[in-house]
Amino acid sequence: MSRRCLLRLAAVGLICALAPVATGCYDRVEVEDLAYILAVGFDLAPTGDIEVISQIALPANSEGGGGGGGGGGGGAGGMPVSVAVATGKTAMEAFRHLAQASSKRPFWGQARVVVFGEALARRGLGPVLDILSRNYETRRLMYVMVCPGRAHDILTARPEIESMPALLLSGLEQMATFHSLAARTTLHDFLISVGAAGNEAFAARVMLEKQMTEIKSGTDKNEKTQLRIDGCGVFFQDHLVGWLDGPTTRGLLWLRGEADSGVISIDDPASGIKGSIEVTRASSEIAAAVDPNDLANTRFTVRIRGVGRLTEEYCGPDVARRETVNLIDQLAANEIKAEAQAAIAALQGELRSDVIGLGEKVRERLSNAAWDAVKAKWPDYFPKVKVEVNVDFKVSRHGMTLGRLTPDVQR
Amino acid sequence: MTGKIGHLELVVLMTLTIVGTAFVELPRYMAMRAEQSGWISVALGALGGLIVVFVLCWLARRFPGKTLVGYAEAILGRPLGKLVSIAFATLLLVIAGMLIREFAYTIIIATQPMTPDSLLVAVFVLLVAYQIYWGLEVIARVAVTFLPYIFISPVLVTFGTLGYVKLGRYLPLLGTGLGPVLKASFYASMYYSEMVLAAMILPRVRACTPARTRRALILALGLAVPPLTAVTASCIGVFGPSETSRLVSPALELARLVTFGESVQRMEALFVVFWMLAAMVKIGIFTWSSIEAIAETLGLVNYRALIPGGSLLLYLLAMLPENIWDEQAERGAMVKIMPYVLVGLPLLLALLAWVTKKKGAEASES
Repeated sequence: MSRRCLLRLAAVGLICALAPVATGCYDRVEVEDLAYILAVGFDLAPTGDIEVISQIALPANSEGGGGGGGGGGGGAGGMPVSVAVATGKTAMEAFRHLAQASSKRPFWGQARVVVFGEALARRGLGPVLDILSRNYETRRLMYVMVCPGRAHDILTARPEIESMPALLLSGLEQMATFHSLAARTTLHDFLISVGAAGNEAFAARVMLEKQMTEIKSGTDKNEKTQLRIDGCGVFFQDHLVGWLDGPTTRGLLWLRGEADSGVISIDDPASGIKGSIEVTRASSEIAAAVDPNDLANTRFTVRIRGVGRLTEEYCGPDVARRETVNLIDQLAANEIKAEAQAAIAALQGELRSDVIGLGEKVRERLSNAAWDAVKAKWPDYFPKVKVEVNVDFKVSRHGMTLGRLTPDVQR
Repeated sequence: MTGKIGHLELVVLMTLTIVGTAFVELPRYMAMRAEQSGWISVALGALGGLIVVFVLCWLARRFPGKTLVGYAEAILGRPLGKLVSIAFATLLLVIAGMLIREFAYTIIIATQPMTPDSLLVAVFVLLVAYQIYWGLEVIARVAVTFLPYIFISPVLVTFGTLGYVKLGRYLPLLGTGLGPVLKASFYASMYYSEMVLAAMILPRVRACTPARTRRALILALGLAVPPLTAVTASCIGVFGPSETSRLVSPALELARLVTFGESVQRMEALFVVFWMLAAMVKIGIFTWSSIEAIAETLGLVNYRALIPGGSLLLYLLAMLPENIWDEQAERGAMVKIMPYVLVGLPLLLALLAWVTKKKGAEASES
C-alpha cells in the first residue's frame, strides 16, 4: 500500500473516531428529562431533620403546553405544578430522597423563590444557605422569603390569581416596589448580609390567607386561599429573631434608601388636610459620627429625601396655593419620619438586630483592623446608639386636577 | 507564512498573555489579600510589568535579534546559559499545565460538573498542540481576531452589574493599611510580568526597532490594566470583599448577574466562551515559548518534533494535582517562585551584561 493510501485510511479512521464526539456535549441533558424547580421551601421537620418542599413545573398541564393529542386534555384541571416533599438529616439528603420519587433530574436554573419556614429560620439557615450558594445552577437573583408557620403550607397553596404559585410569589415581590410594605430580598443580598457583621439580613414575610366565600347553591362554604407578602422577617446572623409589620418595614426601607414607592396618607386635623401622597422616588444618606473609644456613643444622622405626587386631597385648603403644598410636604415628611422611627425603635428594642446597616457605616469609617476588633461587640452597641432622622420631602406633581372638587354648599 | 508577526500582533499577544485566565481568579486573590482595596492592587501591580518591559527593551537593544535563550548563552556562557534556558522553559511548561488545570476546574464547577477533568484537560492540550504546530503567526492571528470579543466581556460584565454595586463596599479606601495592598500588588504583578515571554517573540517581530518595541509593550500593558481593574472593582463592589474571596470565580458569578431585561439572561455561557478563547491564546503562548526555548537550546532548526512529547508532558503536568486543594497548594508554591523568575531572570541577565560589559553582535539584523 502506498503512503498516500495509508494516510487516507488514517484520515478516514480519524473522522470515524471523532464523529460521535461532534454530536453534542458530554454533559448533555434533554429538556424533557429535567424537572424544573420553580420554588423551593425549607422547613424544620418534627424530628429535627430538614424538610424540603419543591414545586416542580408540569409543562403538560400549563396553558398552551402539551395539548398535542387533539384537544383531549382540557378538563383534567391539573395544576401546572407538582409539589414534592422529603426530609433528610441535611438538605442534600432530603433532595436525594425527593429523587426517589422522580424520574427526572431536578434543575435549579429556573427557581425563582425560596421560602423558609419559621421554625427552621429561627434555628438558623446556615446549612441550607450553603447548599443554595454552592450549587452551580441556583441563581443569586431568586427571592428569599420567610413565612410564619410552615413553608409547606405556602408552597402547597392553590391561589386563584396565578396558576403557578411560584410565579405568583415572584410576581408579588416584583410588585412590592409599588407599596414598599414588604422586603424585596434576593439570595444575593441575603448571602452578603448573613456574611457581614453590622448589616443584618431581612427577607419578605409571606402569609397564607384564607377567605370564606359563600356559594349560592348550598350552605357549604368555599374556601379561597390567597398568598400575601407583608412586612419582613428580621434576622440576626443566620437566624430569624422576629417580624416587622408592613409600615415598619417601609420605615426600614426608607432608612436603607430602598423604598421605591409607596402611598402615604395624611390626616391633619389642624389644617384640615386629608389625602394621600404617592412617593415616586426616595433615597437616604447615613452620616455617622463615630466615637472610636466607645462605639455606643456613635451618633447617626439619617437624611431621607423623597419626591412624590399628590394623588388625593379632599377637604383641606386649596392645593393650588404654594403654602398648602409646603404644608403637605411637611406632613408627608412627618409620616415618613414616624415610620422610620418606629423601625428604629423595633430594631433597637426587642429585635436587637442591625438590619439598617449602621454597623456598615461604622466599618466604613474605621480601619479594617479596628473594625475586626470591635465587630463582634457591635450587636451590643447597636441598641444604644443614637439615630436621628431628618426627612426632606417634596410634592412635585399633582395629577390632572389642580384645585380639589368642592361641593357648592353656598348655593 | 513567514513565521513573523507585526507590532499590532505583538501588542495583542502580550495583552492576552496578561489578561488570559486572570478574569477567572484574580479578583478572588486580590480580595483575599487586600480586601476592599484589591482593585487598587491590580492597578499598582502594573508597575511590576513596567520593570519587565524596560529590562527587556534594554536587553533587546544590547543583543539585537536574540531571544532569552540567546541572552542567557551570551551573558552566562554556553553551558550555564543552556542550563538556565532549560530551567526557564520547564517553568513555563509547569505554569501552562497549572493554567490549563485551573481553567478546566472553573469551567467544570460552573457549567458542567459531570465532565471528568481529564477530558477537558485533554481537549485543551490538543488545541494548544494544534496552535503550536502552526506556529506563532497563527496564534497571533487568532489572538487579533478574537481580541474584540474578549474585551467586550469585561465591559458587559462591569456595566451590566453597575446596579448591584454599593459604593460603601470600597470604603474605607486602603482600610487594610498600605502593607497588604502592596503585597497584593506584588501578587498581581506576577500576571503583568508574564510579559517576559516577549523575550522569546521579539526576534520574530517584523521591522523591530527598540523604540517601537518599547511602545508596543507599554501599550500592551496599558490595554491589560483597565479590564482587570474594572472586573476586580466590580466584584468587590457587587459582592463585598468577604463574599468575593469566598467565591471560586467571582467574575463568573458576576456574569451570572448580568441580565438585559427579561429576555436576555444567563449570559455566563457567552463569557465562558470568551474567556476560553483568551485562555487558549495565553496557554498557547506559554507552551510555544517553552518549546521554542527548548528547541533553541538544543539547536533544533524546527521545534515540531518536540510537540508530541511536549503535549504529553503538558497533559501530565496539568493532571498532576489530584484535586483543587492540591492544585491550590501547587499555585501557592509557584507564586513563591514565579515573580522572582519572571522578573528576576531578565533583571539578573541585564545586570550581569551591564557589569561584564558584554554586548551582542553590533551588526543590526532585523
